[in-house]
Amino acid sequence: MLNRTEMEDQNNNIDNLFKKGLGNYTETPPPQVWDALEKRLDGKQKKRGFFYPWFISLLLLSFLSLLGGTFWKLAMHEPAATKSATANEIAANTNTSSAPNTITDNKTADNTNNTADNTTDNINKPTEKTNKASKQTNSDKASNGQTDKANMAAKDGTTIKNDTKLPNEPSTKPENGEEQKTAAKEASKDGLSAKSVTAHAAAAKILPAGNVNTLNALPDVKALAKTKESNTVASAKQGTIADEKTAIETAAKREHVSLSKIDAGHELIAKNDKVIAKPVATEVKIENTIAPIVPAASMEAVSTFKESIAAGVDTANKQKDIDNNKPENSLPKEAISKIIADRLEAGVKGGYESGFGTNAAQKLVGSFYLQYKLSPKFALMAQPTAKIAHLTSQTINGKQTFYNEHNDSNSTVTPIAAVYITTQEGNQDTIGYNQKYTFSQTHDSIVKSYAYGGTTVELELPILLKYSISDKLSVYGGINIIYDRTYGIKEQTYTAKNIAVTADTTVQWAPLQPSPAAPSASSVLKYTGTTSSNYAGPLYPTQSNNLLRFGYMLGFSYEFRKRWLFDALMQQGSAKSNVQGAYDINKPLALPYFRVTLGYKLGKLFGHLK
Amino acid sequence: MSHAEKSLSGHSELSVLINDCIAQSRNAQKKLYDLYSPAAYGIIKRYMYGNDTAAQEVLNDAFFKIFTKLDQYSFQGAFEGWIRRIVVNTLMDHLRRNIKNDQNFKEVQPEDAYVNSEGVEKMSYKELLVLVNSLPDLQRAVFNLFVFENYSHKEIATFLDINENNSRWHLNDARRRLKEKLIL
Repeated sequence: MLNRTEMEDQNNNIDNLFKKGLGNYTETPPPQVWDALEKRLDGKQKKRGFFYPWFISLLLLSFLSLLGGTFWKLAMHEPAATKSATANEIAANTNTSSAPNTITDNKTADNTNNTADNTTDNINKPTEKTNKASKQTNSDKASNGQTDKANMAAKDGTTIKNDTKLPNEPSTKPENGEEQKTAAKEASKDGLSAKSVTAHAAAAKILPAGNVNTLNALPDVKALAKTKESNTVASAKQGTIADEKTAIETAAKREHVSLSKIDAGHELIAKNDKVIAKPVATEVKIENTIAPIVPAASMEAVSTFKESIAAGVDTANKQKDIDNNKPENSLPKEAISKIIADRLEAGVKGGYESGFGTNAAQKLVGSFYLQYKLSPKFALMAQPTAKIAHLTSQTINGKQTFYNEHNDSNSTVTPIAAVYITTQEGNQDTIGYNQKYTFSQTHDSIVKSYAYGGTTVELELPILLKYSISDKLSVYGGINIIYDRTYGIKEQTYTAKNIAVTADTTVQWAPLQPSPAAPSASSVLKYTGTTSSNYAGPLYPTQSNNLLRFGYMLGFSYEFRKRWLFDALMQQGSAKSNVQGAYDINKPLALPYFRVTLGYKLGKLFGHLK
Repeated sequence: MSHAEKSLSGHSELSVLINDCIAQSRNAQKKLYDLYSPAAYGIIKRYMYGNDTAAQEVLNDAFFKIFTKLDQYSFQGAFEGWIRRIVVNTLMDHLRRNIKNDQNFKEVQPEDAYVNSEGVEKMSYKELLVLVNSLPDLQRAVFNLFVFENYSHKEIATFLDINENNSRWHLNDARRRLKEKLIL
């Protein structure tokens, strides 16, 4: 019969025996395990790429909707911008075929830009060349021809020469030839008028609806073009003066245009007192003549237009300018600034963001936004945002338990007692002696557990396409570039101090055998975990990965009290899973989040541009 | 130094290999697998000798975890220890599932479970494996965890979803059974 100590020794022997025999046991697995694993890893890689097609299609969708929006605008007969009177006037000219009819005292060649039905021919008797040019340009494809010409004028830098040569060759001595102060003026004797008309036409023709603001920037235009309906009549007037040649203006009008609307034109004419150019309202109905739009050309055309008007007032100076003009210099800088400033909107937003579930972080949000109007309905918006995100601690699996024993053990020994020991072997009872030893000792128990969470800063830059449903309400969507970091895993240490442990052991021996020595305290007192000197650092690696992620954002914005904005949106970013202790610690990053913000438009921020 | 680490000339070579694996180099992954899978398979076999399908399944799971979590290895501590932990965790997941489904502690005693040997030194791996695998599932798991993985009863209890005293009982019973077969 074995006593308890011997049994323990034997236990240890058995443990050691197997540990020694099998502890370093290795076996090469069959090759099919690797084959299966390889397939599995392949599958995982495919899965990983899932996000990218999704992202690309979203990007594509954004651009398509952008393009779609632009074409939709172009295809519309009636530009959406009819709210602005000026815009309306000019925009309407897109559909207009203008018929400049000029009456001059000096028998100047009449520059008739166009009429779809050749009205010009019936009304005026221009010089042959001019007429030819006019006809060529205008007879059949009124709008296209004009636009081409206008574009040409614009592209060529709107120099007098170019324009002049078209309708009036310098060789054609204008009948109203008066003294010219500059060579430029000479070239423009007729040419100026031709040019200005052309320029007017250009301005009138090629301005796309989307460019209405361009013309807002040019107050002169207001007086020159008035329209109301889709069927339009354009009337262009040209005046030539004995001592100065001027192009006055082209007024594009609609069917019911009232002459009073081109008063400004009259005024200009009146200044050039020798010539009275009468605006003639010719009723020409042209349907669906949509000028192709070349924004760059239109801008130049506008400048040409403006200059030509100015030339009407002060020809001498302007002629010089125009002659010297290079194409890129032809657009006044102030006009560009004004145009850009008018289309820009900026503001700030602040609010709160969160998601559903315990894994969702709570975030305070502060944004700045900059919006550029592409058309009356569409705008591009960038909204750089900084967020302070807080995630309450989420415990993950895994802990380390250590003990720190104190050297304060006590032991007591109870008297020997004979007992029956029942073993499970063959259901036999064996008699023996028991000696009970009781040990007590205090120790500290140290438990290291792990949780992720905490506070981080997130930065994001959404690029959004915004669509105005009404004056106040707009919706937007787009891609989001997010920069943040993984929530760190923190090691939490719980220490319970001075825990008293009592353990006893019974030493057994068979009758007639000598009693064995008392066991040691350390062999009896057992603690959970390992001794604290075995601590080798946290169970999980430090998580300090900065992440650049992509996502989407969808939302709407409601404007109230002129400058205030209420926004609600959802956004979600991709995040590669990062499983630690059976929990995906990147889950809080990949969740959809919902945000409400209050915003304020900063009106004057770009005032200096104006 | 372990067998696997001996095959690599130094720590830096291991780092390179690990980084290549993180970069999804299939060759590097194969190399890592070739280095560490025998030891891993050896551990697994101690728990599930005689059930090759299950053992291979566990090995597959374990290495899949290793490759997908490799970027989380902090280069602190022995790499083999890290792998071992993942292998044992995977094994435990497996055992928990299967032991739960089979709580009746049936005794598995293959014909050759009785070993008449004078010294364990003379016993082959196979004989020892057969002996260990002659234990009922739960006892085998407890014995393995306690003896080879040096887990405490409390940890074993958590791992296997049993209580601590059960764990003690299973260990002692396992020892008793093994003793019987050795001393016979």
